[in-house]
Amino acid sequence: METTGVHVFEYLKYVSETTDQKAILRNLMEAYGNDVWNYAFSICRNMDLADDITQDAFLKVYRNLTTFRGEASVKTWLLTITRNTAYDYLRKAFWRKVTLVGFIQSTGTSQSAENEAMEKLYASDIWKKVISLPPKYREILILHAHYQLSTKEMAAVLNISEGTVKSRLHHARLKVMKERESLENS
Amino acid sequence: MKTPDPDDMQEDLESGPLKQTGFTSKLQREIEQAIDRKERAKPRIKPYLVIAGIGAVTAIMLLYPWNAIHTRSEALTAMEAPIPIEAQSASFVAPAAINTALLIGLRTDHESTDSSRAVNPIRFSTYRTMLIAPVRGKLQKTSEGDGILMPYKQNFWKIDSLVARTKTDEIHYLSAHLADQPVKAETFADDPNEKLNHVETLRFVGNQYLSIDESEEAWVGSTPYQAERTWVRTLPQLKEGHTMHLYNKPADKNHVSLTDLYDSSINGVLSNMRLSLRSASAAPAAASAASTPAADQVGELAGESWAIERAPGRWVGKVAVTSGADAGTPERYDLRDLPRDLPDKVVNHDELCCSWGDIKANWPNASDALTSPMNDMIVIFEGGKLKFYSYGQAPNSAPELTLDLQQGEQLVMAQWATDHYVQEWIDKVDRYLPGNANHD
Repeated sequence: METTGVHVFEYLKYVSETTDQKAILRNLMEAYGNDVWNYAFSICRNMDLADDITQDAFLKVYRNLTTFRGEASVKTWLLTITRNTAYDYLRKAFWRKVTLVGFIQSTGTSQSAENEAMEKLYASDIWKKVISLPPKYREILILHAHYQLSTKEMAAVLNISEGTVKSRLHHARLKVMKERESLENS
Repeated sequence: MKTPDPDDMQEDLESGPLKQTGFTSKLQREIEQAIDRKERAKPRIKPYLVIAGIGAVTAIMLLYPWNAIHTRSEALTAMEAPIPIEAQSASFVAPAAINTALLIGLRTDHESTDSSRAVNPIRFSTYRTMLIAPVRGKLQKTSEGDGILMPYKQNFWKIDSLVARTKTDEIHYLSAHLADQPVKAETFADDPNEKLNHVETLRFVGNQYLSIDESEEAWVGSTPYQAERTWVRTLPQLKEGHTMHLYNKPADKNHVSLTDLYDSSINGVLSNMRLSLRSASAAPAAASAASTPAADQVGELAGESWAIERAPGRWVGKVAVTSGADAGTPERYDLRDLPRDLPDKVVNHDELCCSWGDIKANWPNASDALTSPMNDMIVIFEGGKLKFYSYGQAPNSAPELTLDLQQGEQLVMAQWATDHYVQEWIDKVDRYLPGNANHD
């Protein structure tokens, strides 16, 4: 999955104020733009919001290029930034929502129509199932199966212990299998 | 049900979630343009400020977890962006546990009732600091103690309000010391021909700046004297010492001026304030020529003396209009709104989740509110209580934690810790505020 290996971005460890940081960011976007966008989308499940989160995440990356010292792989670093940015957006959206209009209410047909249109855009049925999982299971499956991160890397991105990663991954897989089986039986 | 194969979904999920590519060349161009716009908007900065800035950024990077950085512009973008339905629903299914700690400093004002005093009753203040943090998933007050405990650079510092009394004098002074070192009481020279009340009061404590009021009342021989001053100081400036006997010292250089903070760009703002001040003074004078004030009676607005004050939901700057101390005339100041936001270096996080109007719509009796940098905790000051809500709680539900405020107690400090700093603060604050007793 990581076509541009960590070694390619080894020089990130030595970025200074005088380095052409825009060129580095361009390289990062070309190599990891899709990874960042897909992860943002996996968390927020909305294409427009995924665009905004991706933009903000790369702006943060640009501002903090000189701070990367290789404690994590470039991809893990970018995914962590993306995740923090995405959850920040969602929290702010939540506060705005509770303070302005109270708890979420079903919007009936318009939401169904929107969901239906969205469903047609998914790459496969399995993606549809994974995206519909609760966030904690959705994220762990995607980090494992799509991004193929190690247990240690997943623990770092999600800020949980490696033990929790293993147990959560197990339960996430069980959930998807259960859904698959019930679909096959029906 | 069979046991799932660890790699059974890797092939299925190898592609992206959608048929189309999300990260387009158009989006990449937009990101590059956004960076160009931001770079063009950067003000020209003097070299020494660059060096100071790098130092400050390094300090911040050491003090705070990198992933907790939030900028005002990001927050505004997020707040102003329309929220799609799916994003809203996603936000409701992903309530995160609170991972933020709040170190809160409060001030209570008192008036001495000692009838034997030679001068008027003295007004002084006491302080307390509490740490509110999640412990095993539950939000609680983990420590409480007298005085103000503030994080400063890599350490915690304690500011105590101490009292020195002599036969004729009563001095309430602020003493700053490293939190792991004992407080040292100071001695003040006593003049038997002088009766003096001197009080220093904290209005605001940030992570490097403090807003301090000084008031003095004295009889020097047979002449009464009164003075009130207000300054913004850094912690090292507070530590440098106290300016006593204000009648002998018309100006105190040991402070941060508005020009120090904003550079010369603030001069235009101050000039406009002076003009409007003189216009306002001239208007009533025109109606009553007999009481036309001389120019020097209008008061001085130099931007040297200013204060940081709490308004509902935010800290605001106030510029002092000072009146000179003539014989027998009290030296006082009036505070006027500073029409500029306080910079981040003064208030490192002062951003509410939503407008003050939104807060009042949901908590009509709220007098103040705080929101954590991670937006995972909101604190409402309401009905003499502090009410803590976590992300995911509705306004009409019971708060996760409620703490009583004392009569007239006011906020002087709100410092936040996130991620692994939460546990570090719990441990350290518990060590530095070992009393854990409620202030009475």
